[in-house]
Amino acid sequence: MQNKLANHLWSLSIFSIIFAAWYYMFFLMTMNMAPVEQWDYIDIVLLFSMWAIMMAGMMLPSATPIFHLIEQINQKRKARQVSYASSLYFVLGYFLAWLLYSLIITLLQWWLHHLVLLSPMMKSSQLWFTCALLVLAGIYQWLPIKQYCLSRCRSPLGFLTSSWQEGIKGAIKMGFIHGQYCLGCCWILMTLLLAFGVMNLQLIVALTLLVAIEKLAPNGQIFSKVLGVLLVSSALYLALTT
Amino acid sequence: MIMSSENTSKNKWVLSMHQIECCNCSHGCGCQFSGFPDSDAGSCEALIGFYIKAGHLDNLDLSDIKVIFAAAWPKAIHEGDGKAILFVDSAASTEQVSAIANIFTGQFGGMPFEALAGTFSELEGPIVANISMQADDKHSSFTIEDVLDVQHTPLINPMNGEDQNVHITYPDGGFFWNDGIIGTTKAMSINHNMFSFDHVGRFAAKAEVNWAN
Repeated sequence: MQNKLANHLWSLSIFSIIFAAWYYMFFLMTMNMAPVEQWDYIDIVLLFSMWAIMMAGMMLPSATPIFHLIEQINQKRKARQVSYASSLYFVLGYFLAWLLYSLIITLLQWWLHHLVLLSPMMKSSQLWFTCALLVLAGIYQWLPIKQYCLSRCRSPLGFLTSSWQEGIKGAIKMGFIHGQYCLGCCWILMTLLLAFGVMNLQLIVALTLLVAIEKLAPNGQIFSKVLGVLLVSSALYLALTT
Repeated sequence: MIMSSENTSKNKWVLSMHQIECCNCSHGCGCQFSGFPDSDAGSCEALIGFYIKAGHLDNLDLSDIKVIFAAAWPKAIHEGDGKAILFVDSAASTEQVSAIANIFTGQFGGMPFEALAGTFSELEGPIVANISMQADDKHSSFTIEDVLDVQHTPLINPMNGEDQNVHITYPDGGFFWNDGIIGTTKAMSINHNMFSFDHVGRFAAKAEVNWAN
């Protein structure tokens, strides 16, 4: 009974974090749409936090299975009165990987604005740039590194049995390492936001679903390759029809 | 259910074992590579025999004990909700049985048992039974009369009908083992009130494992 309650509490806390991120994306997300020359450093900080919250909302849902596994281990340890580090440290480590990514893509976006590849509306202003991102993202789906990272994301148990680390530092480190695999999986998919609008909610929802299918569905690896073909085809379609 | 008080000593354990595993996946076992079973039902049903070559829990020697772990998960292992039954050979002493039960159910920590324990919602045992077990690279087997029966046999080369020598090797460390000798199941059945199954011609692997907490 207590076990069930603890499980519900855990699910609720993860859900709250994800919900908060989505609430922000749906209702609070606003950005300075002025030309980049008029940006203040505050605007860049805001842009960075927006990316960080978006990444949390988009990436945490498909990582819930490994969070749940860690929590199961911790609950059993708690019952045995053995030392453990809260599962939230693992989540924190995982998020740190995406925080790092958010920083890089914020700077990249800022630079792309300067190059006028992005409009002040925060989307691609050049057809070739949009198509190039789509093609690169599509090809990446087929690369060994993508498939290597994806298989590690999809099989969290093997990671835990072979790379377990004790303590708070260990939990953060494990989360960070696992986060890097997810990063290796999805970093280029997320750059599609630069092509079609950084705050494009339809795309945000779609990308979240695509990532979840890749990672959680039984044939996700095949799906990831099909997605690659679709991305390249849509680039061709855009190039030929626009 | 097994529950014994710990902290009486340090509960440090080391096990060096023959591992004779088989499951309802096709050859290769999807869980090894993509985290999901490639069985027809998408479930994972496994029988794993362990022969402890050398091992101990603190000062208690655990060498030469035979253990069988039977498990069934409705979906991928990491998705949880699994059931497991633990059998320990009747040659083991009461202390040894309790030590094995605590180690194998993750009570004393240490991978991979501790992670696996989190994937079970029901656990039965330890059932003390008469286990016969042969750890052989090509023709491993283990049996409990009227309960379960596992027999490994090598994969056959379809071109010339000869035994195939197949290994799955993880130079950087694998899911549970680093080097597995791959065969197939001539027999793999369990008949128990918790679950029953019978899978012939499925995934089989014989490996050496060295685990500790």
